Amino acid sequence: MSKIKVLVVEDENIVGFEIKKRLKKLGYSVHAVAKTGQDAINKAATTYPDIILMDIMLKGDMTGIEAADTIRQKHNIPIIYLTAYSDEETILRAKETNPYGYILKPFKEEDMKITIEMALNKHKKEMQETQ
Amino acid sequence: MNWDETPLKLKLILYITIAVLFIMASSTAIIVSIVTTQKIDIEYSRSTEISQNYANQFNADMRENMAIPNTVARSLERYSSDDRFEINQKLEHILRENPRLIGVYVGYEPDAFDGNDLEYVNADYHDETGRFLPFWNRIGGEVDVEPLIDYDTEDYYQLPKQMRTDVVTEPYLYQGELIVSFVSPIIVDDEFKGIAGVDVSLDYIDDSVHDIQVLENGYAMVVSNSGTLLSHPQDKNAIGTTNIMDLHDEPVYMLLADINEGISGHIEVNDPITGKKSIIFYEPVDMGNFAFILSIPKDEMLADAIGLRDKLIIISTLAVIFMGSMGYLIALSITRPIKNIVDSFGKVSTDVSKGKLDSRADTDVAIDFKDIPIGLNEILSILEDYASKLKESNKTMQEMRVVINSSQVVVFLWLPEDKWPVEVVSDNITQFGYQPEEFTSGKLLYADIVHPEDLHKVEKDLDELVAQHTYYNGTKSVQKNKIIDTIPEYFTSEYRIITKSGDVRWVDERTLLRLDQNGTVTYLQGIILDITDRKQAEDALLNIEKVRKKEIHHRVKNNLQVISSMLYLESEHFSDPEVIESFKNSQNRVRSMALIHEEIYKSEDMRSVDFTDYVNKLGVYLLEAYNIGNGKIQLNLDIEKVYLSIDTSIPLGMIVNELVSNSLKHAFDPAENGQIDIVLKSKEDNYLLLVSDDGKGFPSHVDFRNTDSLGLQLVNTLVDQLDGTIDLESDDGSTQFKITFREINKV
Repeated sequence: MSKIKVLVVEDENIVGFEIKKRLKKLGYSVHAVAKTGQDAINKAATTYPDIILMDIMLKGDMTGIEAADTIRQKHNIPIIYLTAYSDEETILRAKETNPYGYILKPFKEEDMKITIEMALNKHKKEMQETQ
Repeated sequence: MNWDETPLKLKLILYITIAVLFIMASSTAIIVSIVTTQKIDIEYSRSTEISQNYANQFNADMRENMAIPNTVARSLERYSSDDRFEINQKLEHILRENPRLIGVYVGYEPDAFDGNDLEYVNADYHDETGRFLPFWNRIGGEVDVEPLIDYDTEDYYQLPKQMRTDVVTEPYLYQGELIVSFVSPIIVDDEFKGIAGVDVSLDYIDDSVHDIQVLENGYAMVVSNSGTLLSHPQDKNAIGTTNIMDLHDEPVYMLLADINEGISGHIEVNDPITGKKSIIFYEPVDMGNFAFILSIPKDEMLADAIGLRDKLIIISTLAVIFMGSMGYLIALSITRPIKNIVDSFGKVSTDVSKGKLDSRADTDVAIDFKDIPIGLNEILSILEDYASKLKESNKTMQEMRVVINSSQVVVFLWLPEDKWPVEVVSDNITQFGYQPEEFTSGKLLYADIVHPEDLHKVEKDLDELVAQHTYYNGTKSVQKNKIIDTIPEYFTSEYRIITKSGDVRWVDERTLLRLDQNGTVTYLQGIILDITDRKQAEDALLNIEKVRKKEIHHRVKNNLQVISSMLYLESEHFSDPEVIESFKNSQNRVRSMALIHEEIYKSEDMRSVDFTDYVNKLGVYLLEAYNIGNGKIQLNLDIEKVYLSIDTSIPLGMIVNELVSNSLKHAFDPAENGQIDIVLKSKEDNYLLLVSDDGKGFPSHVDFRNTDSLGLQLVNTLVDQLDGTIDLESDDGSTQFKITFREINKV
């Protein structure tokens, strides 16, 4: 069984690098780290990740929520938000994009793994239901 | 004509003329009365005096006439010669010596002279009785002698015989001659012997009286006591034959009565002789039975007085005319300059009414009135000055009105009453959709347009300011000036109003309290300015500021997260557990700081940290970081809801981080259950932080203030940074750090 391909979207490269390291440590394959929303949309279209970890606050004109919304409309890829934001407004905006889970910063490897696995499982079930 | 409308000139003339007329008439009347009375008195006195003089003269004549028989009688009383011839000769001599005598005579009782009457019966100048009765007379023109007649019956003999006194008879006609007899009795040894007498013609009376002319038509006459005329100014035949009563009417009786009583006087009658109203003065002649009469026509007697009266009246009339003329001239001298001034004032009035305020009254007037036009001109100058200033002020006001109405500042004059009725409002209230008349008519009150949510606050603030002024001006007048300085004169407030179309606009109100002398607020005069744009700009700025701060904290937090990531990545290169632990500790420290910034940018004011929430998150994080998420170690928080500044929060958060980490690492054995308590309480400005665990207790040989442990060193350093104190209570079953501090840069 091939490794799960993860697309990490994080505007801070070093943080992205840490996530990438932690994900690899957990057994996932990280093909790319996108820095902006548009970059994420492009990389999602070219790398076909199994799952996307999306930071909500991104540099540039597009937020992670907006990028996730676009990707969701184009591709059937589960998306998990990475966020330190826990305010009501952000949560509400994020909910509207029907995410598969949240990973709150600072990261905890166990949480990351559980959340990713649950998201993939949920997605798999949805796919099966659709078929 | 209405008296008030009568010209002053006419009034003055009337006043002066009437006054002069009254004074002259009354004074003339008094003078005429006094002078006429005096004159009449003088005339009466003069006439009376004339009468008395004539009467006295006649009296003297009569006395003189009586003196002759009296002397003869006295001589004969002493005569003893009995010589009828001698006596005759003496009588003849007396007659010849006194031409005015008509007759001289003696008459003896029978045989009373010499006892020889028989001897002389019918002898010369004797009658048949022979009595001695010689009567020497010049009745026939020549001196002759004849015996007396009618001696037994006539008064001339009988009256002296009976009365034994000198007698003057009533005038009587004797042979066509009016005569009067003066008779003296001859008494020897108290026995009446006979009489001695003289007859006097009274024609001389008429002669002497006839020529008397008093004034033009006055005349004199003499009447006997019985009223017989003894003289007449015109009719000689009336003498001796006519009685005065035949000439006059009744008042003459009084005259006769007075004469008989020897009383003088005068009466006023219509004199038939002159045919005029006359005054008849009468004066009895003592010696003789007659009176002197003086008749003077009244008009002639009073002519002088009447003439004087007429002259005085003429003088008075002339004086009145003269004074009237003078009055006219005086009135003219007064009214003419007044008229000139009035005309001048009228011209000024017309000019001023036409706006020509530079018009001036003519000052070329009489010296007495000069101050009037000068005064008016001074007033006009002041008025012109005021008008100029007023014009300038109006111009400025008009300009100000234009400026105000073209600006956004709406000017109001409110009454300090419930809901603030509007007295005046500038036209530019239309910018809010309202017409000024809606307010000034009372249809709308100002409170009606204030936003209901702001109305209560505006009312409260304004009422408080008004009450402060009323209180300090009303009851604390002594210290008013001192205290009033501390009370704002202006009411300022920012609130919302609702426009006519229902929009909400923010306004800035600045209102001056207008006070009366008693310090009572009479008006509120102020402006409102639409500050909606400013408010929106302020809100936008606040939002920008908020976003900016949020961004900064977010960025700081991200950077800390990057540092944390780098520490993690760095730790991946080491295998030594101590090194990895050190990296983890540092990572946790950075995380505890990052959490602070996360809390801050989540907070409303971007300045303070909800410490309860923070400690809660930090605790959860630390439990997870040390892989104690299975519930063995329970974290109990008793954190008072406090918001601390970032300067306090960061060191305090790190202290909590170090102490909790310390407990998690050292207090419990693996697989041991336990609990960690974090308590934060405040008392006034002081805070108490307790971090305790029920683990194995702090090693007694370790001095927490002086240890190699970096964590405790940091704790001591950070407590010092907070100016706080730290104490440790520990035994075998528990460890408790007690930290007190005061907040730094309190929010």
